[in-house]
Amino acid sequence: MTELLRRFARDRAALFGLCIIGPLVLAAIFAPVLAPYPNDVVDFHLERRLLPPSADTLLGTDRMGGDIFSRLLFGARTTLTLAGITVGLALLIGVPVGLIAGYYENRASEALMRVTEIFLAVPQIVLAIAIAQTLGPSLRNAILALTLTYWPFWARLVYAETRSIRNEVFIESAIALGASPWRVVVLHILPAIASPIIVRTSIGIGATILTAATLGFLGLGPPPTAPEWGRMIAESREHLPEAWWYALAPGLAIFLTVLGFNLVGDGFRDILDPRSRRGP
Amino acid sequence: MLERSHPPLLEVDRLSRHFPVRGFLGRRVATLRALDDVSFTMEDGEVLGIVGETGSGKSTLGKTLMGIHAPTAGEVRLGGTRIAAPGLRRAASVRARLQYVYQDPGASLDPRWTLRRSLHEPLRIHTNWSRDRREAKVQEIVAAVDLPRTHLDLYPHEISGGQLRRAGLARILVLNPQLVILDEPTAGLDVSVQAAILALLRELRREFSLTYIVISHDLAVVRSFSDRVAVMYLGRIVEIGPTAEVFGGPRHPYTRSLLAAAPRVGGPRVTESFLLLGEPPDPLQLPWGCRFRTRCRLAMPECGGLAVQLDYEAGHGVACPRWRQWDMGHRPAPPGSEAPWPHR
Repeated sequence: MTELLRRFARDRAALFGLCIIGPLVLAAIFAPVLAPYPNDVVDFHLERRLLPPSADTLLGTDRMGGDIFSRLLFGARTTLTLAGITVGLALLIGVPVGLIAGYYENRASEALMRVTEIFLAVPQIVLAIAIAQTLGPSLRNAILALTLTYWPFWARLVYAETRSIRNEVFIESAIALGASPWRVVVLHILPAIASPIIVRTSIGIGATILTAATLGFLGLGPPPTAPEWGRMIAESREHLPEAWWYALAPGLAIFLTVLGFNLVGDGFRDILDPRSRRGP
Repeated sequence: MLERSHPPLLEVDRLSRHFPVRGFLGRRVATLRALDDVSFTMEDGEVLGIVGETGSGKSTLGKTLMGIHAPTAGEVRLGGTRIAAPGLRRAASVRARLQYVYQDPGASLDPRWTLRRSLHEPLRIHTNWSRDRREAKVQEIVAAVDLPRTHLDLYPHEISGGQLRRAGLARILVLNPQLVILDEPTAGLDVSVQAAILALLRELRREFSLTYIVISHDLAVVRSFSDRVAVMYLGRIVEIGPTAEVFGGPRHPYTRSLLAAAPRVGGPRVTESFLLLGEPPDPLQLPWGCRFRTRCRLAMPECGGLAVQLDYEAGHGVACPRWRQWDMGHRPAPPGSEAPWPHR
């Protein structure tokens, strides 16, 4: 374990990613304390609208006169909550489905995978837009739409990994020994396929943030008053190019966050890849 | 049939295992008869060797006995109790009495588990013993297979191939099995390590009063190790009998070819004595009657008749309709060959 951490620490790109994600998570947690104008999330001051960045308002103000920096910090909360819950729920559905379908070789597992493939045949964002549009814009519905369209990805990944390890001798011998399917799956198969799941989780959070921002941009995320990065970019369009800071701040926030999660995911992949694992 | 007070340890009764070959939309396009109508019995403490080429069904036989594959037809009885039949679910207690040692027993250990955890696992599954009691049993077996106790905290990739084999053996011995199926116990080992493993297996057999089924394509190993030997060809037993008799006076043309094909120092060149004609037939389209007849120099039209059963004489069975004819000395010269058995 310490060996793994040491190798992770040697990976500069992954460390850089961690340097983005770490402060971001802290910023999200302590947003009410850190934000210079915590009330600007709901209040509006029309006399201060569209001010450029200054010492007073670090990243300028938006069309309602709200401090963009403060709104960005609260937006981090929205974004991380949404991405975290979505990926968590998708894992909760997708991993068991993939494990069951991969372990058993019968009609039920075939049926599970065909359903999964139907979902995967449509681009995630298209399906998510359709569902979010139907349910109406809210944070909960955005999570629902993203989860419903994201679990098949995990089911597919876990299914493929399970199938590839299912015929390994140590799995067959555990079954021959009389181990229950539960025991085989949880104690032997799941630990063996944990690495790709961990790697994809980090990259998946980044991808989900991007998809969530797209939903927000289209007005299908949380309602207008809530601070959300995608929606902030959408609002800024009418004021471009004069109020350039208005679009740049949330745009950069999304870019850096997604970059951070991807770099960390790549770092995990490099240290957890079984092909690069060494003996003592 | 002789009246007997107790049933044999293992009875295999017309056991078959077929694999469907599926094409488009899961349609069954052919059947692979990996194991077809195999019957034999084994007594307690016996060592039965099973030899045959790749694809002869010897591993399928082992895995069907073990319950890894469900039989398509026929049944297996262990001590008189039915343990394998189509649709029969195997009881956990049976799994403990019958154990399978993989070709590479090291591969049967989870690479992410320490040896200790892997050796505890069978006991966790089959008993509700306390940790200490399990550990005592594991220590006892580890000593019996000559595995250094310090190895228990290591991972499989950290120890040598020979030690891995010992660990794999220890894993099945903790359950006190009666019948152990050894799949290629010496494949891929140095000759010196082979000898050590065979000696260990003999010793363990005495110590734990085990009965072995040894599956191997190494005739020398089977010859030195087993009491009886069964020769398989394309899913069927073609000859079965005491080792000395089968090796000394093989009755089936296939057995003769197989024995002749084994190179010996100072023996005839393999190419001269190799008596098989052509290639093995497509396993999906096996010949009717005797499956060997397409490659047999003695084949006659009658060999394509009904299924050839094992014909026993003094405990030595052979599935060839013609063996009595040529064993009596009237060996008809098959067409296109002057001397059918040049080297005996």
